[in-house]
Amino acid sequence: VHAGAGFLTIIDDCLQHFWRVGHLEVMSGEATGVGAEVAPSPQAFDVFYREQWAKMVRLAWMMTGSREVAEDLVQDAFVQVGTKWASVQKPHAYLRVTVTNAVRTHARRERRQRSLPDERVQPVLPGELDETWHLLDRLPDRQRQALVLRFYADLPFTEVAEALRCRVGTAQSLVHRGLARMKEFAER
Amino acid sequence: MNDQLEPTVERLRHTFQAVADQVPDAPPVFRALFVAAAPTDDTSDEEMVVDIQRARRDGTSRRRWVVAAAAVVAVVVLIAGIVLLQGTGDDHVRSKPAAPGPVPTTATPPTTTPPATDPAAYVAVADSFMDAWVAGDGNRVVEIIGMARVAALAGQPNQVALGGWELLDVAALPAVHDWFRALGWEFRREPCRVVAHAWPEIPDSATFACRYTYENDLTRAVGRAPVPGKFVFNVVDDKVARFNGGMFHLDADIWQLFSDWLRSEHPDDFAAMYYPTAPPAPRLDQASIALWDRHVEEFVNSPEAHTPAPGPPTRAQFGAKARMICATVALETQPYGWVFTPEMLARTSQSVMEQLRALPRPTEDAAEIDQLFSLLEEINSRVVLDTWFHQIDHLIAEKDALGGRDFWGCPVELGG
Repeated sequence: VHAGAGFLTIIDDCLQHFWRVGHLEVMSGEATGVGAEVAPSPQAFDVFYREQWAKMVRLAWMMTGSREVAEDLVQDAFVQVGTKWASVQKPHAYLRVTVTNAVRTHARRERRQRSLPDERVQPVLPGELDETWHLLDRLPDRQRQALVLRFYADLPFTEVAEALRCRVGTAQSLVHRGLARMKEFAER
Repeated sequence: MNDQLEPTVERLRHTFQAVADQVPDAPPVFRALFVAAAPTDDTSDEEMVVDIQRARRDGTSRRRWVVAAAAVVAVVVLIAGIVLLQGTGDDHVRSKPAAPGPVPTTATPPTTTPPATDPAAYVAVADSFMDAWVAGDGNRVVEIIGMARVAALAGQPNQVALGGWELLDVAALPAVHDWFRALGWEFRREPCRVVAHAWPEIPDSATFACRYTYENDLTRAVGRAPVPGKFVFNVVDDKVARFNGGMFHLDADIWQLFSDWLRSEHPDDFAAMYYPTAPPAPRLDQASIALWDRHVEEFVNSPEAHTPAPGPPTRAQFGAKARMICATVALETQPYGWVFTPEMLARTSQSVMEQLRALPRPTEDAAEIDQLFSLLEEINSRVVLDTWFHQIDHLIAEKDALGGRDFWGCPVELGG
């Protein structure tokens, strides 16, 4: 199994790790100016965690559709932020970008494992909203993420684009196409 | 915004709000285990040690578990790398015959806040486990593994993940050590590190990463340097509760060399010595172990069996060597607590690519490999230079098309 056509992925997988981890690092420099002299205290991190945990879980839940996954991703995101706490200048923005990036990484991995059974715990919602929630599952990952960032997090398109690492025009297109699809699904 | 889409937007907003209302504002628990920070003056060896405490939500929740709390404090431990390097000195124990060796010091992060459970107790368990392992005392290893915890966590009774065996029954661990002895396995352990990535199912635990190297009759016969590996396990109370002992490289080129020789010289014994898995994992019954003992000795005493044929390597040999490079680098860059700087990323990527490029290549795949390497280097450099992912999506797609992704990943999945 290791000697066939897939042998090149040995190298591929080897470097995926570096790309993924390194990508976060690159983002951190971009979003926060890591290395600045501002040094929040551990106590401030405690407060920050208490303030932001639920907000981030909600955001990630809506983007992933899974609360369990959302909590895990947010947990990891707090670890990322915590390890840089002394040098993070804009912790809120950094955390949001970190969570979004984790969601995107998760989505990429999920696409490779679509055959796994869906054991997600679903929210309890009234009929029409429940239908909308399930329609979101039918959207491509990036469209779903864009809708959540735009209409749940109320971010302007510039920040949606920053979180999704795309151009503003692409973010607008993702939102528009996502909405159009949602409407189309609902009318079927 | 298109007016026709406004109702959809409204419905989406209501849905999002209704879902958001189901997440309580406050995290269920917040408790710090380790609170300390120390600067480093050398990024080349910097290592983050993070402890996270996760706890169970109260019984009113509909869900079984939630991630409860994170207390995160970075402890940049420059000395960790140094301690690891120093730990390889005298703690050298040969599996054939087994004998206990000196106990290295296990590295633990400094604490300024008392943890819920004394970390020294966890450390003692981890050290006992590793001592038993390198001493070849399989029965002691089993004693230290908490069967009930393992059963509960694995979802299958008494199974642990170990090297090429995928999931292995805990009761088979003494036989594993018998098999080690038959092949003259020799472990050197290094100090364990608390990496502390507590699993959500185990709120009061410590996670250890314990590195080792091994050699055995096969590695010695072909002149291979000791092979690095790492155990990762959780300690709860006085037992090991989850254990992943990957990295035996049973699929690496050296094993392939032996299994090819065995198939050729003793085809009738092959099935008695290996499970029909991919890669093939050794059978651990007494008859199999006796065959291993005999045939490995014969292999070692047959220089022509383990002297590479002249000429370029086969695809399998190239793949195995590339895997070994990746796996070795992965040990140095495990996601447990590692945080890359762009400089570290660049340095590591360059090192991997240099090693990969230095490998002799199979003739028929040389062009394809060149193409892949070029893509890898371009993607690497763009990532290091802060290129947005969407700008390199086409490169990634091109790279994926070359390799496919039906593979046991090299470093990514190791250790979870």
